[in-house]
Amino acid sequence: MRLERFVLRLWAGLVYLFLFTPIFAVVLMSFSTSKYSTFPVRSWTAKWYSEAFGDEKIVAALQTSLLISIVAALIATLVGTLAAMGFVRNSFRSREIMRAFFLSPLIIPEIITGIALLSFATLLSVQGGMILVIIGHVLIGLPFVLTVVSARLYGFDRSLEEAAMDLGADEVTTFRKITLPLIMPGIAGGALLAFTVSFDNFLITYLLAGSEVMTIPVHIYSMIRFEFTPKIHAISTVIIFVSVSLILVSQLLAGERRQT
Amino acid sequence: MGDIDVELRGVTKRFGSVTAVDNVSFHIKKGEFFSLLGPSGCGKTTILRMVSGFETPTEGVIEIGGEDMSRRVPFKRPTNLVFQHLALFPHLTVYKNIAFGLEMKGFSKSEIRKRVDEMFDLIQLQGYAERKISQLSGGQKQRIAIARALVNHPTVLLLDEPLGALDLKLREQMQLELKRIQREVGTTFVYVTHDQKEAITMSNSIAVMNNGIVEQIGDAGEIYENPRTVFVANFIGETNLFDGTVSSNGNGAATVDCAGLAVKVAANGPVMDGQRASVSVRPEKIRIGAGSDTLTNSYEGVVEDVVYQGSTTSYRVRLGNGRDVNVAVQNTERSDGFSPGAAIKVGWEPERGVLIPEHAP
Ligand SMILES: Nc1ncnc2c1ncn2[C@@H]1O[C@H](COP(=O)(O)OP(=O)(O)OP(=O)(O)O)[C@@H](O)[C@H]1O
Ligand SMILES: [Mg+2]
Repeated sequence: MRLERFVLRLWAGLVYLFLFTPIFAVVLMSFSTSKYSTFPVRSWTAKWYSEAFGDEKIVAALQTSLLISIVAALIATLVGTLAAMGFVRNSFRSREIMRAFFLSPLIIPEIITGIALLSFATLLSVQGGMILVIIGHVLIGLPFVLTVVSARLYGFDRSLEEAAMDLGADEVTTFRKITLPLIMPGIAGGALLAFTVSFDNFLITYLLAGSEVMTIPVHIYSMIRFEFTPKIHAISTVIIFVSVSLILVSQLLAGERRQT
Repeated sequence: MGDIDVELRGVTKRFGSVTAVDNVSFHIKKGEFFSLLGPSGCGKTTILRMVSGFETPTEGVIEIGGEDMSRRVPFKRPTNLVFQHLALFPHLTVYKNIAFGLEMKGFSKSEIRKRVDEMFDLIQLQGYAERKISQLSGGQKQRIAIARALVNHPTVLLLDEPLGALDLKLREQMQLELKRIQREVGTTFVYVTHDQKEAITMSNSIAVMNNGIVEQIGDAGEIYENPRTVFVANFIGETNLFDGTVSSNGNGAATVDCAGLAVKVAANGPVMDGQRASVSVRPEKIRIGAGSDTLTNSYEGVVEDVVYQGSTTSYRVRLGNGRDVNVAVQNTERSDGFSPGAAIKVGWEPERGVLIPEHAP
């Protein structure tokens, strides 16, 4: 038994090593004085960070990314929460089909989702651009919101809503004073996840962006293609840090103990 | 309709193939303390949920204050419900929980504070206002749930086993408080319990339920002294049941032949010879030993078992035909009891028993 456990741990360790070594390398090299990706790091500096944040294009791309992610996350949260309420609270014949439809962006390759949206836009003769990118990001954020909020709703004690109504609260007040506060951790967690997948997304943005929308992942990609600079490591490290923190927070929110 | 507050007429509730409530009718007078008493799963909660508007009757009509409630949403009904599983709001403080209903009705802050404070005195939880619900014991939660409903002074207060988690002393205290409120505020109480003692001590009127059916409605004395079904006789208090067939009847009396034992009993309703029937005799109505041989129903027996219970002593006596009867004797004088094995006589007059004819199935 002990050997078995040891082997399992070793295996898990190797998997983590495999997953995170490249990421660690990026973080380490972002602090290296060397202009080239060399290892081991000989001396340390933070200058790539100041250079990155001094680069107008990077800052502009960051701003665009933030704007898109916030708007997309808000829309995905609103739509996803309402959909979750609909799916959990009602049983109708097409429920499972509808749910599968909402979750499909998780399984369908992003490139196909992207191309589908693009053809759809062409069909409607809409130019690529901000709105299209946001629609794409809403689509990929929805399944996350739907899943997290649904989980919260399944654990929700409906008799609390009955108690509120018994005490004179109408449907809207009951939702506002009882349901919403109690599922809020789920909603917030879903919103953070939607924000993160939007902020990190490259493929859909790249396909739908057209020429004038430059998000940070797309910008990094173009930087690599033209000239390599350690600023890329610096900005990548920032993105890693933000993404990991947001996902941690959303996990905490989703797992927040349900009081009864 | 003046003095009738709640009325059910032919109310049936089916969940799929389960009939939870089966053609129930009763009316409750204004200010009355009405108990629904019955074993688990007999439909008590379902009735309360229909009165508060959370379930719609499959058939039948519910009226409150003479008004048909079928189209009235729960938040516009003049009722408040203390939920069986309490349903306190976990994200609000104790104070906010109790104040919820008053806030919904738009009372002023100071009025709310005054009324909520009164409640805290009543349920003896002063100083708990700012606690979270998760920081309370089961009994404390139960008291908060009662306060949350009571604070609204509803016309009809529905309570679903509200005192289950309290210890005996607190339970009796709360029972007295609820009775006091009923008298002072004039609220109509519909009280669900499966504790027959509680129902008997608190109620003006009791409906005994079984399997979705109301078996009998009456005041405590009526139900105890005059059970109309075997279920009621068994469920309320202890009793000895003699099952048999009616061998003769007339002039307000009947004899039931019960495995060779002829039991005479007063008969108020019509019975027929040969009909199956039971006679219910409460243990305290049976005499034992001295004087019991001159009674109309008098049988020889042997004491099997003696249990001293303080104010009473309870005997199990085996009769000649092999069946046991339980007899309870008041310990008015110092023990003149019988010991196991003693051959004695037991007996009772016909009017001490109750004849329960078996209904056609
Ligand atoms: N929503 C529902 N769906 C299906 N069956 C139900 C539902 N609610 C109640 N029942 C059934 O109806 C019957 C009566 O239930 P009810 O809750 O009224 O019983 P009760 O008398 O309150 O019992 P207890 O003393 O255990 O609380 C039970 O057989 C129960 O299983
Ligand atoms: Mg119940």
